[in-house]
Amino acid sequence: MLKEMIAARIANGPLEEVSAHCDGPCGVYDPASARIAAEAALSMTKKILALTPPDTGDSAAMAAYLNTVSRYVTIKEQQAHLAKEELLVLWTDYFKPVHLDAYPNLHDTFWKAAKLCSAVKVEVSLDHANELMAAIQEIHNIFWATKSRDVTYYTAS
Amino acid sequence: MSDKLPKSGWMEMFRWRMGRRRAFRVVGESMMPTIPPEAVIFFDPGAYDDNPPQIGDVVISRHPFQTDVQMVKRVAEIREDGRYVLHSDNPAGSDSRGFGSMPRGHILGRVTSRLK
Repeated sequence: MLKEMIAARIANGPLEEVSAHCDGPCGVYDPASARIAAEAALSMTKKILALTPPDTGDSAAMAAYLNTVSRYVTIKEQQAHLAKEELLVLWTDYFKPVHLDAYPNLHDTFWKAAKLCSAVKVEVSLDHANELMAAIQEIHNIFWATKSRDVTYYTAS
Repeated sequence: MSDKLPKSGWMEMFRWRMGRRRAFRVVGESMMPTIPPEAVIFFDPGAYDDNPPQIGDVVISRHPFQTDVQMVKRVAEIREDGRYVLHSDNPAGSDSRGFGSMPRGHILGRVTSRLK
């Protein structure tokens, strides 16, 4: 009892601080950045699939259509590539050998997710875009489990 | 490696009172689960006066580039050239894998126990 009181008194007094922070690079990681990019790529995939070409005789409408398609495709490719970059950073920088013991399929999960990013970039595939989202959700679950935190997965749309 | 720190007892508090220990408040979670954020630890600045740091010791070290920062880490490896590799216990924290090994002179002493 007395010992605890003295300990509390020392602990609550003015003390020097010592850092157990991560060093720069800051060590702030979150699969959310990959999820946002993948979700944007999924959204663009849906938008491309929903487009209807105009009559070939209407050159102004055709120009607008082609312009829209190329813009959607550009955004889809950029976002799919960004998702891959974000995943690779997470994979190679955040995850360490100790995590592999707990999640032996970690490498396979990331490898397949990165491959899906490529597929979403190259194709107009709703299936692959949805599979990528599922893969990122799995990575979200693994990531937050390694931090012993219960973070609910969500999507923006 | 994540050996637990002993809880501070009377002797540690006595040594602190006599000036042979310094108390630090830990900020950040890179030493989880051994040392959670806001823990108070005792540190022996004379621990390495006669003997060098050993692998597994929890130490307080100067930061290699931020001269006003002192950090708590664990000795993971002693290189042949006498330099020390320090790691975080928390696999998510950064450590010597991020900033290289450091000279013995940067290691200020050993963390001996945890008060809170």
